[in-house]
Parts: sequence; structure tokens; C-alpha cells
Amino acid sequence: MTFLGMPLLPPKRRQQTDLPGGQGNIIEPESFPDVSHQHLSNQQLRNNIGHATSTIREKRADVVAELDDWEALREAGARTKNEVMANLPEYLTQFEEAFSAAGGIVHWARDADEANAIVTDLVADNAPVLENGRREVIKVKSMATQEIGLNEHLETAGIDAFETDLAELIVQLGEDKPSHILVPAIHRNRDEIRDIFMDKMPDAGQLTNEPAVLAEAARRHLRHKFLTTKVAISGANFGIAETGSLGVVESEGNGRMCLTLPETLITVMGIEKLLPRFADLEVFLQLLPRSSTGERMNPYTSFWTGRAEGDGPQNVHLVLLDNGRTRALADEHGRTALNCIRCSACMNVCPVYERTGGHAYGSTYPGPIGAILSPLLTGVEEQGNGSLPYASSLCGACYDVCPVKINIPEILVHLRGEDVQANHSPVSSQLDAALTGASWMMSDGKRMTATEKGLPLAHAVTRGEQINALPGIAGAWTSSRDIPALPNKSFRQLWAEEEGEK
Amino acid sequence: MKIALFATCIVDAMYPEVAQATVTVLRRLGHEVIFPLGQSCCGQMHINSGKFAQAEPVIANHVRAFTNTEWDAAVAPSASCVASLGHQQPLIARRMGNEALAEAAAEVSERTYELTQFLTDVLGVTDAAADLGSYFPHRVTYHPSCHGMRLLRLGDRQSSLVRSVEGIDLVELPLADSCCGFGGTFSVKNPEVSSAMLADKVRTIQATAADVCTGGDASCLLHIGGGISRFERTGRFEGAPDITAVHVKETSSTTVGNEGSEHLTAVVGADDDDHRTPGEDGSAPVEPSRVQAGFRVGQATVHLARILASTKEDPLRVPSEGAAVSGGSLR
Amino acid sequence: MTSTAREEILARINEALGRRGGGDYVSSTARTPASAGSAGAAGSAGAADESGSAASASQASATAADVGYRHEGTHTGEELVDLLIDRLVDYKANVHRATGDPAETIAQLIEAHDSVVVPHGLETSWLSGFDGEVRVDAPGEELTVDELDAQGAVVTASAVAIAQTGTIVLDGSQVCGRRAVTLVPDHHVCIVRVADIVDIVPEGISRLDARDPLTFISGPSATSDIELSRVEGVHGPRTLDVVILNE
Repeated sequence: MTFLGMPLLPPKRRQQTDLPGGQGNIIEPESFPDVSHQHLSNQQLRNNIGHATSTIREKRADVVAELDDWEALREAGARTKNEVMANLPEYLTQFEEAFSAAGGIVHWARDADEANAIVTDLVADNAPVLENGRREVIKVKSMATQEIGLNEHLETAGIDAFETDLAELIVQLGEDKPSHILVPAIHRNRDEIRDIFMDKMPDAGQLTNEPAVLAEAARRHLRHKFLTTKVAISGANFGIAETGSLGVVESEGNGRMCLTLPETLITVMGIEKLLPRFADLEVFLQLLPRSSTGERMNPYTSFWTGRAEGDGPQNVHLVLLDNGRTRALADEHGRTALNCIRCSACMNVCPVYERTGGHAYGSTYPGPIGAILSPLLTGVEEQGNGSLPYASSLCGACYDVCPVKINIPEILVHLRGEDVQANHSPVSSQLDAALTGASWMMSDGKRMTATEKGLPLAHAVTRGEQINALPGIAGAWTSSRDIPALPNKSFRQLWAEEEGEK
Repeated sequence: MKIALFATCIVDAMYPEVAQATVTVLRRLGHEVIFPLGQSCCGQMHINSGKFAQAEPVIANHVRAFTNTEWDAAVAPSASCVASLGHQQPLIARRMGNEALAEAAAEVSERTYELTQFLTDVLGVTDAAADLGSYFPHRVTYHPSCHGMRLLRLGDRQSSLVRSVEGIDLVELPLADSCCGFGGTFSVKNPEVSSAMLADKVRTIQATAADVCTGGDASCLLHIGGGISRFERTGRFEGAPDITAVHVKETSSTTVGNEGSEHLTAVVGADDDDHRTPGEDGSAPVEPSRVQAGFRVGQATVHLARILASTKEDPLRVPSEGAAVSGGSLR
Repeated sequence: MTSTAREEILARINEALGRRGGGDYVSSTARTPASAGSAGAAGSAGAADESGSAASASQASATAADVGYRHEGTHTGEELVDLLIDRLVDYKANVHRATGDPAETIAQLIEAHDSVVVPHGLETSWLSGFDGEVRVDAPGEELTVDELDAQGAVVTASAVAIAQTGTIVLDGSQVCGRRAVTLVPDHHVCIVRVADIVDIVPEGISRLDARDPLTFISGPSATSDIELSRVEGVHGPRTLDVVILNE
């Protein structure tokens, strides 16, 4: 088969921004099929993730069904976030003014390096050097600090960062990586967690695999740190432009500990996390917990506005992080990905995530949202990030559950288009070549008719038998699926014959 | 009514009998069916592969084919292709700067229906036995395709029509709303993940012990049938990790009134035993294929148009009656 | 350096939004997008309309308040109280009821402790039935963290309770106490006045001021981090006793 003479249409519009991409833990190192390969064959991982996600799916569905205005809440959530993005400079400066007026200090960071440097300096200024010659901070689970690789950076600067969220603690003690944005240790079962704790907590003693026993062990392990550490680092779920308030949504109370007891609080927050008004929380405090943990409300939510006299940390900082967010914002077809409130509902329903786990996405942000957010933050040219938008069967389950109605399937397809423009020549792979040929054939019903006239021949060549193995890319299909025998005649041939008889 | 059949490329080339069954059903209701010969494909394959420039002429061809002739409604035996007309064609035409094509595509799309959508919403058919004479006295399970569920919002239109076929024993498919893993070029781009999804789908279908699995999209049925065939031939999914998260745990029979119904419980990796680390206590990990109920050889997939077209006079045969099965698809 | 980063990020956003030149941004002093005041949801719609060049400006005119979700619940009276109780119990809080003076109920709940802490604004009579030591946390006389850790319980009032979600909100007032006081002791006895109970989340938010340090509490501390099954009792108080008070 040759494609000579075929019109290869040049792209009519190149959509590109020269805004810098983000850095840090948002990059798939190789292509998704290669990275997912090693995780797919891990039966234990599949069991752990399958069990956990099916549990949370049911819980979410139950609590969402309790609200008869859920769709209106989703719509309100989507509109509010769109309003934020359309007016981001105004809301950011409004926030900055209010937060500063309340005694907080705002820092701005263009990228991961700059954010890490700002935090490191603040810790060095405020945390004492301990007997071991190092400084210590306690941390509340934060996607932003995971994204910029803060812990690793702090370690090289002589600062030990202690994760206090139970799942983050499991990941940190297990020298592992998070695989889920809500439950970073979702890939670990209770037996594995018990083993990690007994191995890495010197004071743990003998433990059973009961979740309550394991939670108690974490409480004992961290209690002293909470009561004595001078500096805490947090993320934020929401920043309220109107009032300069920050909010953290959590379950265990480790967030309250970090936000309340230390003298210095440093919060790292993406610039897209704002809400215009405090009243908008009436929507988001319904959307987030129900979508996230499948609870009507999470156990604890804290809000603080700069410094509160006599209550909590008196040295309060906020680092506003770009790290590719402006690049994502520049993509008019992809920018609603920034509306994400990190609930994780999309990964909990994703059939791909359920089978590969979060590590397969190579990024702090796994699952469907990660498959769009990572390439949007870095550009599709960045290492394996151009392969992430293909890590979906486009089944649409993610869009259905998204509390802020991000049309993830549509953005996935958009980013495939970006990948094709940036990374493919028309015939750079067998699939590309096949699709080019198919486009030529399918652009004209006559060519389709002509091609299908070959069916009797193909039928004869395959002796009218089903097809069990094919070479090349088609072999990817026949690796685990048979193909029916080709019919002797296409429908259009049969139709023409029937019409001819009339 | 004058109905334009949009056969879709896969049905045209691979399953002409599905298009014939669609024509049969529509004619049985007294409507005229035409087949715009210029048609080929909705363009979804190219769109979903990011080949927007190559999709544009395919979209243009579809619009040309369906604007060249007069018709009242267009009908396709595919939810996915109908969804692509409305959700994707205008979007992509616009992306390519072709506003005129976008508008024309939207107009064609507005008058194009998925088969059961058309039967139910436009023609008011609710009882296939009474209105169509549909007869299929076999055990059937049903896979709702993703785009029918989530893009067209078909709800129970397909399952209700199938359930109303005379003699049918429709058994619920556990985890029915899980994607089969086809996803167009997804199954080629990410064949291993796709196969893992397919394996779970095939296991749940086997557990129903149905004669056939039906659905409204030939593409998903091609994929599922291919998986059933391979698994029945070899007992495993070659080239893919032979593991699954889905365990179909039990079949319990309950009798409600005079009707006996069977209940299957599919569990996703949820048994405590499954959470033992492999080898712990000297035990092997649970072998999923051993805990499932009702393994049945000789299953096949078949498009629901053919079940609706089946009558007492001209019944569609199932594999156990000697019907031909090829690549897991009923011929 | 930080001011440089600030200006550059704001310029990037303007460029991303396709605003003029991409280099200048509109300062908040020139235009304030939302009205001040915590009940500004409906009132601030107009501000977002002005960003003519913003890509989704047409969508931005609608504020959250516009789209028809519920702003008020349907439960009242005893039904409302029952709903709150149901939801609190569902998330493993212990619920008690008192009429008039809650002192006796409170005393029973904390009788096992030697010492408890209360915020300085709490009705002193509420602790009158308790035989142990009552430490009062007051401005200038705050208990240290170690002292708080040595208390058997903390007794406070609350600002708002949201029935639908089983949520109690503390606002740092002199009857709710500063945040550390309700966090460090392992047992929290929280009094909810019936008058402070609302049905759904929007009603609760409208009664709060964002400038106060706010803590929303829904049951005792919990985690779902192990196989996503909920376990009560991690870092926050492991026992939450709620006393619903008919005054």
C-alpha cells in the first residue's frame, strides 16, 4: 500500500504558548504503555486498588444521591471556578491585599525551584537547629509541595520534613511514592502497612493489621512532634479572595495540629485555588467531601485569615505558585482543568487507573485529571507527558463524577491533537500511517466502496476463518482478542445488489 | 417516515447483518429506509487519535452524504457513532476553522438517532414482542456501551427493549457499567490496559452463563467477542497480564413470586483472602478463574438489532443451536 | 525578587487570558472584583462582567448563587434536631440532650477526669456539677500546650451546627475558645444550642465570618487512609460528646 499522491493537510492552526512549563514531579518519564506495563502485572496492587476504589465509588454514589440539587451544585462549582480563572489577576491581588492586611506575608513563585527556595529560607529563619544538627518541620498533606518536590529539596538543605497525614506517613516511611491524590497509600493494604510501621517506627512495638491499631500507632508516633515543632508547612484547598482566608479540608486532625500549634505556618498554594467569596464555600464544602471521601462532611475543616491575635501561628506565610499553571491557563481548550479541586473522584471511577495504579502516570497527579493536567502544566513535548492523554478509553465516567464538571474526555482528545501536532509526523508510526490511509478512504464513499470490493479477496485469503494473529500494530489487538472472519460482502454491496434487483 | 440508515463503517465492513437487521426492524414498522451511498464513517477514529486534520474530510464526507438526499430521520445501530456526530464533529470542524461544516454537521446530528433512541423516543415502541414481533427464547446478558450511557444518556432504553422481547431471559451483567476497554485506538495504543479491562468484562459475562451478550455498539461487541473467543480457545489472555480485579463471587437463587431470578455478585478485589500477600501462610493468591460461577463455553456477542429482528418465523439461532460464531461474534 | 515574580506571574496570566499587551495587569486598587463582606455572593456578580477580554467572561457573570441549588433546608423544629442527632451519631459522635441547665449532663460526661479546660467566656455555672479542677484559658492566661495535653477534656459551646452534615462549627469566640484548646485534649464536650442549629450547609456558611479562625468538626477525628475504610480516632480528640441544649 502506498500513500503517494495523498493530500496531507497541513495543520490550519497551531495553538501554542511560549509561557514556561512547570517543573518537578509532574512528568511521566517514559510513555504510559511502557510505565504501566510493570504495574499491570502486580496482582496485589490490582487487588488493593480495586478493593479501595470500588468501596469509595459506592460511598460517593450514596452520599451524592442524598442531595436532590447535586447537579445544580456542580454547575455552580463550575461557573464559580470559571469566574475565578477569567479574573485571576484581580482575585489574586485582592486576596494578597486581604491576607496581608490580616498580618500574613505573601510570596510569589514562578516555578518549583523558586518556591522551594522561598520555603527553605523561611524554615532556616524560623526553625531551630536541633541536637542532630538539622532542622525539622511538620507537614500537612499538600499536592503543591509534592508537585515541587519540596521534601527532597529541604532534605538537601538540612531540614527534615515529617509528613503527618497517615497515608503520607505510610508513603514516607515506606520510601515510596504517592499513588493517589486523596489516599496516597491506596496501593498498600493493611498487612503491608503493618510491616512498614513495625520496620520503621522504633517505638511501635508489636502491631496487628487492624486499621484502628495502625492509626493508634501513628498517633503515638507523631504526638510529640505536633506538640513541639516550631514550623509547619501546609497546602490549601481554598483561598478566599474577598477575605484573604485559607482553608484546609482534612480528616485526622493532623491538619489542625499543624495549622494551630507551631509558631510559624508556611502554606504553598497554586494560584488557581482561589474562590471569589467566602459564601462560595456553601457550594464547595458540599461538593468536595462528598466527591472525595464519600462523606457528607469530612471530620475537620480549618480556615485562617493571616494571623489571628492570640490564636495559632503568629508568623504566617503563603507562597503562591505558578509552575506551569499560567501555561495551562493559556490553553483555551484545556484551561478548565485548572478548576480541579483535587477530590480524586475521577481516579476512583477510572477503569484505567483501577488497573494500573497511580504510579503509572509518573506525576503527582494520576488518573484522568493527571492525564490532562500534567501535559497542560508542562506541554505535551515534555518526556512521556504526550502519551498521557491516550491513557483513557474515553469511557466518560470521570466527567460524570467531576464536581466542577471538567470535561476530561474532551480535553484528553484536545491534547491528543496537541500531541499529534507537536510530536508526530503523518507517518511516524504504523498507526499514524493506517489512520492516514483510512482518512483518505473514508473521506469519500466511493473510495470506501472500492476498498470494500476487496472483501471477497480478503475473505478468500483468510479462508473465511476468524483472525487470531496479525503482524505489526494489529498484533497489539490480536495479542488477546480474536477477530471475526471478514464477511464476503459489505453492507453497501448487499444493498446495491438488492436495489439492483428491484 | 423516510429513514436514512447510517450503517457506520464497522457495521458496513464487518457486520453487514446488523445493518440488515436494522433495516428489517424499521421496515417492519412501515417505514421507508434509504441508504445514502456516499457515507463512510463518523470520523471518531481520527478525532480520538488527535488527527483533526485527517478527520475533517471524513466529517465533510458524512455531512455531504447525508445532505445530498431528503430524509426525515437518520438512524444508526451505534450509540458511539451517533454521539460523535453531535459531540465531536461540530467541535472538530470548528477547531479546523471550518464554521460552515460545523453548522452543517450539527444539523445532520440533530436529526440522527441511535436505533433504540429512535424506536423509543420517536416511534414510541416500548414492547418489542408486541410492536416488532421480536422473539428470542434464550439467556441473554447486556453490556451498555459507555457512549450510550454517558454521551447519549440512553438510560434503560436499550435494556427495556431487549427485555420486552418474547421468550427472552435477560440476566443482569455484574459491573455492567464498566468499560470493556475498546476505546477505539486505545486498544492499540494501550493494548495491555485494554486487555486487562476486557478480561474483567469477559469474566463477568461468563459468570452470567448467558448464551449471548448483546449491546448497541458493534465496536464494543467486536472487542468483547474477540476476548471471549480468545479466552475460550486458550484459557487465558495471551500478551496481556492474566490477572483481574474482578471476582464474581456467588450465584444465589431467589424466588420472587413465580419468577425465579438469579443474583450474581461481582466483587472487585474485596475478599479479605484476596488481600493476603501472595505466598503468605503458604497460600497462593486466589485464582480468579476458579472462584467464578458458571463458566460457559460457546458464548458470543450479538448486536441488539438482530435480537429485535428475530421472530418466531425467522429466528436468530444461538451457538448451542449450532449457529456460526466467528471471533466471538454471532454470525 | 518576590515582587519581580509577582509581576511576572500576573503578566503571564494576562497573556494567557489574551488581555491587552500581556504585560500589564489591573491592580486590585483600580478595580475590586468582589464586594467586601461575607454575604457577598449575590451582590458581587457585576464585577466579573467587566473583564471584557477574558475568554470565559460570558460565563463569569453568573455567580454561584444563580443556578438553583438549595439555599435553605426543609427541616424545622424537632425534625431538625433529630436530623442533626442522626448525622452526628452516624459519624460516631456521642449525643446527649439537656434542657435549661446542662451542668448535670456535662458533669456526668467528664466525671472521670481530674481536670478539664474551658474557654474564658463559657458559662461558669455549666461546670458547677464537676468535682475536679476547671482550668480557664483566657487571653494573657493561656495554658501551654503541655498543660492542655494534661487536661482530661475540654468543654466549649459552638457557633453553628449544620444538621444535614452533622457538622459543628467553632469560631474562636470566647465561648468556643482558641483553636488549640479544642484540639489538644483527647475528649471534647461541645454544647450546641438548639437556636444555633441550621439545616444545610449554605445556611451555616451565612452565619459565619471568614475573618474568624473557623474549625468545622464532623465527628471525632478519623481516617480512611487504610483501604479506604473509616477508622475513628487519630490526632484530634478521639471522643466527641455533643450536648444539645434546649434553653
